[in-house]
Amino acid sequence: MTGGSLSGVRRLRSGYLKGRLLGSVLVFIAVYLLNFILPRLEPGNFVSALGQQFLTHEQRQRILAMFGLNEPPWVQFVKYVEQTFLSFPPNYGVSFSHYPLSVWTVVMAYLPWTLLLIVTSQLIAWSTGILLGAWLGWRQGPRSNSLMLGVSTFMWGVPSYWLATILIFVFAIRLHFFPPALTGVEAVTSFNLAWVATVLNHAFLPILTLVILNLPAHATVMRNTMVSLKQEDFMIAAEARGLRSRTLILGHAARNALLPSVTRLALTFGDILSGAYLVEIIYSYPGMGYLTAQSVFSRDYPVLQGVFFFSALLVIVANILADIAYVFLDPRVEYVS
Amino acid sequence: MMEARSFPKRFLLFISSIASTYSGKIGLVLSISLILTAVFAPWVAPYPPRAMSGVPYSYPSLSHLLGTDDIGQDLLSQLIWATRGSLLIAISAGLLTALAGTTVGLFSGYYGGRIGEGLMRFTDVVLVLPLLPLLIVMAAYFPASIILVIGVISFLEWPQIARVIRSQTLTLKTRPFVDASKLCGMSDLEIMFKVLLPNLISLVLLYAVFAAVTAVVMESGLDFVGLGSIANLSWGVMLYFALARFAMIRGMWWWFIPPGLMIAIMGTGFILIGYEIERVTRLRV
Repeated sequence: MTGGSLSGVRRLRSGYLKGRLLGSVLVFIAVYLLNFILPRLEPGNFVSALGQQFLTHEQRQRILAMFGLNEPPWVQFVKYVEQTFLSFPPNYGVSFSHYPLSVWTVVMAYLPWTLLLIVTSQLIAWSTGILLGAWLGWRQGPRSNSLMLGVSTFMWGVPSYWLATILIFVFAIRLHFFPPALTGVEAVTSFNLAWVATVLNHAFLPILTLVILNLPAHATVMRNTMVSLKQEDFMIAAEARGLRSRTLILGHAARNALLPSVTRLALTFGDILSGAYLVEIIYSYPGMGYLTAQSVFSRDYPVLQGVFFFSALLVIVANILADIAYVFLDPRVEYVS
Repeated sequence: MMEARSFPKRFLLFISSIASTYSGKIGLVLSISLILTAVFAPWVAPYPPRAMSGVPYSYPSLSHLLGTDDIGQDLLSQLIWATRGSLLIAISAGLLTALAGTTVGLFSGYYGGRIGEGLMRFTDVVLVLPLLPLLIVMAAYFPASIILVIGVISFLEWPQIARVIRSQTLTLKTRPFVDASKLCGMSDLEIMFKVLLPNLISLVLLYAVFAAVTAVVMESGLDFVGLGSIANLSWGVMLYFALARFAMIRGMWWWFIPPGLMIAIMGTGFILIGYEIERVTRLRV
């Protein structure tokens, strides 16, 4: 156990991580190809987004030529690869509604806000959920357990934007505790304490929504692992040695119980992202979800594709990080795969 | 023993063992009442869902228990009819996911080797794709229809079942009864679907239930963004209209809260049953 992190570095080069990285590369290729194929299945739709009935035949052809959509597919593909890989910043096209800004510029303006929201809310939900789950699993009280199961089952089916709307109604409209939307951040231009305070004040409700949605599931996973861990020989031995229960939980059980929790966090990251996007829309929080809603409204196809592409990229990165964490947490990983 | 009993008797026995726990009872009551509501919607609902049956924006009263919307449609009737639309999405997405996932999982687990490995690499790919952004991009390019929604959701959800079924098949196929079936002259297909599948069906159901609930939640998300199919009246569509007509800002919470609550209640009912089925069958094996 003591040399865990050191040998972990060595294991990073082992077969397990290689296999997982190969998987990530495949995901990337799939998303990359999908992004190429989608707008080219129905080029007409892509063009009509710009002005439906007002365009003449020549104008349509000109727009098709402008986006290179009338060339043979393989020429288009070579160009696509060139633009996205060989130039920096990568060229994913030009936004319709933010013209002449590129998709890259637009997405990069919204991405940090989403990261702030997701990282903060998941850190809070995950750490609190783990502590709560470990405690519940240790006590194994029948009433608190069925309450936990009930709450997490219920939360599975709660649409995130529905909960967000109710929280706005209660805390912002009725009680005036927090502002209902992320407006006014632009008013404070420089990065100082006032800016941080404004952002926190405005981001509080969106973060709270995501914490409420995700905490019960994290706690349940941790609880279930804890319950099965308690019967393991090494736990019984540790208990027999007369260790304090806090040392038992945090020092012996928690480390092992973290594994399923990390796996689950990575596997459900896509769902967490989807939930967060809808929450952003409700709170007018200027992240990727808000950008999505705007782009749907203005039929900004290039930006929509950019959002999908970078969302998939976020999920891929999250999974690679989880795999690395997994290698460090579980000394057995290299033998399994 | 089990073969001696007739199907209805076995089914009743199964239901009663699910109902033996508290959460099983809750799950059964919730799910059955939702299914009954969906089936008997025309008889249960006080008004046709799209008929102007009252004064617009009326508050809850005895004639309109949940009030009316902006064009005077009865909201309770809409809620009842939307049970149909949402259950349709849930059940078809659940079935499609289970079908695809189980087939791929069984084949790749039973035959193993290169094909199995390749299939699993593919599921690795699909498993992590973010559902909602993909759904939005697809719905933006193709006209919104529930078939598209069900298709995309099933496409992104089946790998989960496939992985679980594959890993279970890998261990199950080494059991003696599989060899015995081979000696009896059963074909590979028969072994997969008649011998292995009955042992895995509880897991299939559990994951199908999760897929079904996710489908309804995601469909409501798509409606919310404005890319849903309004032709299919679902709880998501109701939420979309409630938001678009500022129900909460008008203080008309009885318009906005029930559809979301119904989605969560459906999720609770289905998932509780999923857990119970898993528990019951695990005890028997």
